Amino acid sequence: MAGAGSERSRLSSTMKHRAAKLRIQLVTLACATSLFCGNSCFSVTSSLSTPPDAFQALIAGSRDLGPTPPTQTVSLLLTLKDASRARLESDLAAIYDPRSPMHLHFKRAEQAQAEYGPDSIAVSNASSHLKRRGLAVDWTRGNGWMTVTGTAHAVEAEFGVQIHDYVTPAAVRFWASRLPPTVPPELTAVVSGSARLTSYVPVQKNAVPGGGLKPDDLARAYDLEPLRALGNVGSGARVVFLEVDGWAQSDLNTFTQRFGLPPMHPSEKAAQVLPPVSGEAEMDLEVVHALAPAAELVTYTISLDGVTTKTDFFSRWLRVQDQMIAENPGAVISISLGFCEDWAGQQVAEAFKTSFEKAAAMGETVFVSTGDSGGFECLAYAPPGTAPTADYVAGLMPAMTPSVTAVGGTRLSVREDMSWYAEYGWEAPVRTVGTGGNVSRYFQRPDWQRGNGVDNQFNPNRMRSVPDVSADADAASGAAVFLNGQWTQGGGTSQSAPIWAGVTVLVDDYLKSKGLKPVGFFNPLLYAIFDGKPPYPAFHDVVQGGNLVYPATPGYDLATGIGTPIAWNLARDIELYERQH
Amino acid sequence: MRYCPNCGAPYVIGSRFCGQCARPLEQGPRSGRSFIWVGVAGALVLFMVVMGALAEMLSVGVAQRVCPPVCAPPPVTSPPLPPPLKYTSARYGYSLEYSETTLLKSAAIDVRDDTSIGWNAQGFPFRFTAERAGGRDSRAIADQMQRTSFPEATSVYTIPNAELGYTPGFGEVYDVTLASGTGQSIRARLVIVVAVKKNLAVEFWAVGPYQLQQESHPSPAATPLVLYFSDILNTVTWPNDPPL
Repeated sequence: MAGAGSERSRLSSTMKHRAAKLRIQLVTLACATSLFCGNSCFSVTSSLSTPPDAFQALIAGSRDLGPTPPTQTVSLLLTLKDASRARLESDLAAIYDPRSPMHLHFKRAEQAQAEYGPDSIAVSNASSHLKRRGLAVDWTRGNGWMTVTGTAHAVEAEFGVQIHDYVTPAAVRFWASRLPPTVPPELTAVVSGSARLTSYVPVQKNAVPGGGLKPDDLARAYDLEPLRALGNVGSGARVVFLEVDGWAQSDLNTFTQRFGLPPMHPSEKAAQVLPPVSGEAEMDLEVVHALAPAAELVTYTISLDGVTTKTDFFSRWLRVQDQMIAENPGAVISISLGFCEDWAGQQVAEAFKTSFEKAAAMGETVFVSTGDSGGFECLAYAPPGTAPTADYVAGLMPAMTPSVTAVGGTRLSVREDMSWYAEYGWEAPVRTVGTGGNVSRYFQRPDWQRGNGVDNQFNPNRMRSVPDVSADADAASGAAVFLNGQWTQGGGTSQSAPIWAGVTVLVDDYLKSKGLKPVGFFNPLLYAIFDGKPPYPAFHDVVQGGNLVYPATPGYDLATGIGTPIAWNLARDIELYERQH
Repeated sequence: MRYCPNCGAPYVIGSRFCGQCARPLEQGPRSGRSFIWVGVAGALVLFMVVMGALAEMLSVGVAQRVCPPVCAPPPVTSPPLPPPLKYTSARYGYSLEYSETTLLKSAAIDVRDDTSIGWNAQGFPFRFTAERAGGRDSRAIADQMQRTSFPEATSVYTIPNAELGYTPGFGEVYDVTLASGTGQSIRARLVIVVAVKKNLAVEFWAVGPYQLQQESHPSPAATPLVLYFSDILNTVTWPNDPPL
């Protein structure tokens, strides 16, 4: 590398001179050395001109290495038919309808477990069939999905697929079936569909590292101070986070001591051993603690260690998510993770929807960040260096799910006294980074999603659109956080989702102090206030910036949703709304 | 909301004593209360402070009160990170902000005059400059920059929603090959972004090594140099603009 360094130095010197005059000599395109390219120099062997979806784009951009060895262990995720789905949805409609006698009568955890889920006898029969075919089945009662594991040969025979090995231009090896699995007749009574069969496992953590708003600044910017002055600091509330990385108590101590905040001691409920710290979980915890310092903080960490297949990835995620939802009725949940909606496929998307509907039935408020690739949330699944084109315009799961509140991002400006000044839809075009936001490919628009701008030219088929709301996400305007041993500025929709979680804890606290119910699944209420004529303006309407694909406009838009919170006004509007209904 | 400087428990602004550890707190905001009441409260606080101090002096050998669960030190109110630095063109009046706390620590400013500011990051340059637009739009100016200075560059893609300081403009990523003094060539990426407002074109260009990245959000520009300048682009303001 010494040689590379000196060569680079000479090159640098030459470049500096020439670049200063804006004259750089060009020669034929070549990638002749590895000094600057490492192992990444490659030629794409297949066309990527019109990939129909992210999965096909990945296959098209990778080299086919031939059939996977028949003894290779593979697995797939099956989604299950669930006769209780219709009842769950009608129960939800009643719970969140202010005219219903069941309004805000949330289900207890054991009620939800007993009343909802696929027929266990039918699932047992299907499992027996699969076992006779040499396949192992993993299913937990109540879950709307199961995993099936076996040799490539057995899975190919049972599900009519051909599994091949592939290698991406960036030298990542994986196996996949180009065509989706076919559900055999013996399973059609209970299996509704299957996820794509592949071992390729990308996951997006919605964070942008950067360089801060102090806790009190953030509280002032979104007008939380009046709520806190009334003593609403989250006492008795629980905020739950779904994570894939760990947190270090020493980092959290540095954060709280610096700002004179009460100590924070989160607990972990899923992983036996926390994975290494990458900053994602710590930012979530610190942002919520900054706004709601008395709230109990709990993490449920998905261990991705050793994940080798997409099935393994989704099943681990759903298992921890289902556990988290079952154990925390009434909690506020914040999730800053996601994957491209295309990549999930409709069956997996439905499994996530059902899972979050149970959360809604138990009065849980779920915030999910919409992603940091702007409108191009499927671009991260294409080979590196692929240009951002319309082929990769998509939303991020699970934010697209109609039973969560999807949180987009802004760039926040404050006045010298730290009060709100302006906000822009967050986008950084040269990096193809910005707030996620899009129209769902799978989910119809729920009835509660209404108001100025919800009907727009980008959504002619009236599908579910996200984000619902937004908050500060630009690392240049982010909160001061201490992550992985250093101070930095938080960013990404990973920051905006916990901001909304913190705001909601204080709003719930205020409502409880008035003898009212907490908000539960927030969207019916948020849109009712947005679409109504509340006495206090509850949202900052973001009308500048965008998300690389869609502009921020007056009213609802696909970059920033309804807008960002004016927390004190929102709390008082909800109080009045609940009293009137 | 404030926090007790002794034990860290939250208290409502205006409280005289911590509900958790009972230590005296700051004076509440001065209100329209009568002078007499302020005086009485002040005397009471003074009395409590003196009594507290006496109690501490007399408490040698007595177990200290334990803050539940850990005593937090007094709050520090200054931000932990320094504020961003600002460049303003003396000639054209446009401004931008940059922070030396992040990646720019490893880049050096190598051009800073009344028109331009530029950095060198490990041998690779990026620059902001300006000129009068003279009726040209941002695309025309960007095209002209490319043709004049990088005539053999080949376009890779047009940057969606290219902008400077949230002012819409035009941007393009190009493939270029650079020749070194030793005859070696390397593949690189040229990035040009231009935005025009009030007849003033603010122009940005960068040349960085071509490098594919495996990260959560790999930039299709395929050069790590974007990480150095991306945040700065959003901070550009034109003369007499309100702050972003």
